[in-house]
Amino acid sequence: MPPLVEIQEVTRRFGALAAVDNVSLEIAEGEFLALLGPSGCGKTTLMRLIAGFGAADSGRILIGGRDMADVPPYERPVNMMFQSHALFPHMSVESNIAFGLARAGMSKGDMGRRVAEMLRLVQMEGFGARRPHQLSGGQSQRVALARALARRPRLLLLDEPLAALDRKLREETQFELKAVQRELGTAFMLVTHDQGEAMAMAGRIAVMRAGAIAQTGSPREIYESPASRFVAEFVGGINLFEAVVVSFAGGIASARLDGASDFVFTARCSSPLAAGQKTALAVRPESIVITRTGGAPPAPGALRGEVVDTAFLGGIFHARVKLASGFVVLSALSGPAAAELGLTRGDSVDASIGPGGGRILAS
Amino acid sequence: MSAGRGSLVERAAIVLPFVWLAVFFAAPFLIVVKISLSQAALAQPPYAPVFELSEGLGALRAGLRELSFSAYAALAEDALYLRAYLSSLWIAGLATALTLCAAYPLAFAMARAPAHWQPHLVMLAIAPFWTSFLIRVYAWIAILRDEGLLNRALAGIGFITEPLHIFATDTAVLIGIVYSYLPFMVLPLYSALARQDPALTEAAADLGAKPLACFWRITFPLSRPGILAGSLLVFIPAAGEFVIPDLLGGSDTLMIGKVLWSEFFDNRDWPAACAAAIVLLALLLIPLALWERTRSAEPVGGR
Repeated sequence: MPPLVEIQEVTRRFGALAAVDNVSLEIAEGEFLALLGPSGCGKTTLMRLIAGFGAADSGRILIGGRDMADVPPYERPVNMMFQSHALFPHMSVESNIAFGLARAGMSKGDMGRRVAEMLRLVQMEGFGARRPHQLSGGQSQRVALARALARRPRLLLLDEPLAALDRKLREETQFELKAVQRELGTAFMLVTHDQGEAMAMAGRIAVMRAGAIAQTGSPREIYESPASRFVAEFVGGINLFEAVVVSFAGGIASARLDGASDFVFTARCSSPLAAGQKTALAVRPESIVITRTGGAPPAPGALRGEVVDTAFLGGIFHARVKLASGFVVLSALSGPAAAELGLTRGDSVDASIGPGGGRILAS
Repeated sequence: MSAGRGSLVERAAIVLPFVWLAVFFAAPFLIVVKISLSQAALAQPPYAPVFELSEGLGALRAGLRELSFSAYAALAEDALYLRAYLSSLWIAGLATALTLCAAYPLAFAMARAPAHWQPHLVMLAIAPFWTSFLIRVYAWIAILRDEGLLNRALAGIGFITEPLHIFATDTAVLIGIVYSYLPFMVLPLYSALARQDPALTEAAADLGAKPLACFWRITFPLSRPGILAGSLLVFIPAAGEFVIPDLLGGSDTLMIGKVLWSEFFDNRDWPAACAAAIVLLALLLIPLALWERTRSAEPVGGR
């Protein structure tokens, strides 16, 4: 099946700044893609280009195989859910949802049925006659979703849709959005700066940085095999050890940690590295294994340190361990494991990297 | 509640606006009401009775008994007044509609202009106020006269052979009002349009609305508070306008402002003039009250 959206080498400049810089990306029918990046990385600009707000300076955007260059926003088979929700304040909830249907020339009867169906989909039955100013943030978010989905777009663009909600509501809504997406089979493109949101909802994540795509992959791939230091740091907690490449062969690299001459770590690395090159060893906090020192010198592959801080976060337990080199490692332990260890500040411990738990980064 | 100096300052802050209103609005208004209930007299001032507080309460009571609605009755009897009111409301209404048509595109362009231009555009919109109102209205005489700038220009390009008689007609009055009150319409419209969230029209376009539909279904209805405010700011003073019909209008231009003037200065019938003013005020309060009601009924506005 050909991809629903093909973004081909698209560049969009604002003055001297390339907000979107030679980006190529595909969105498949029915997939849930998250465009993840810090503010100012160009993710919103890219999404607006797909919706038709602004034109690419170069490159092409195809939707359903058709070049969108001369297609105005009101003729594109995509709909957008705005960050501010942008509900029309002078219209009732029903009229808001029906707005796009009326523009498409749908009959009154069909329109009424579709509006009712949409209200049911977002669990807002009975709110049809309300005005937007009578809705809470969560309710207005639902109406915005219903309005954007009413025309049955092939792709729904969501611009930070949950930003206005408080944390608890945000987490609930994440699951609801996912359920709606599954039910309708519409492709969703979510733009967000919140990696947790992207991980929770998306089937595939494209990480953007400075107008370019830094990495695309499933949430697991992005998390476990970050392609670069930027991705590793942006997505989830990470320990980055400065290191120097010792050798590289067949996708496996060995690197020596700075400040620990005898500590050589071997791990998979996606792109080729040269010996002597500076690199970083990335280890997720949950891959740092902590053991109490039994008085004996540290085992091979372990580094000795001292617990400088602990935090109990409910299901998990964070310990910060200061190594001899001065580097502070963050370790995340499961609740039971932490209880067994019984760590407190000042304890002397050995930290090592759990099996398969480290990545040597290419850049 | 806090006591002492704090509450004194607080109380003063509440009382001061009322004092202001009493001195600059209520007192003059009551004087006008009182004169409208008096009788014209060949005296100084030209009406009776005159209240002299020094003559004691008895004289005051006697004076009060002399007050009557005779000026109002005269107003109702003379068809001239009715025609003047209707004509004033008609000219003011038409002028308001024309001003709205002229101001909307202007305000729209201002609100959509690059953000750093907008303060300058607002300055330009109010720039005419830097020149005396009277001089600007006189300038229109020079433009609209039979041998004025407009006729000479139109004749020059061969558009007309006979001069257009605009000066000293109701058309000239309309032009004068539209010109003079344009800023009062532009500014509230601009503020209503600039306040609108641009995401609203984008959302409309995204939902399939073509540019015209975006305008008529989103931008225009959401600018209604600005339209109402601007229309009242133009309509109310235009209805009582004197200078423009006096300078640009013809002898047959009938507006209540001119009637008021002649009652005051030609007939020296102050009670009749004051009664006419009070009736005009009552007529103008009706649209204001309607506006207040619509405003409280629907809290519309962009975010």
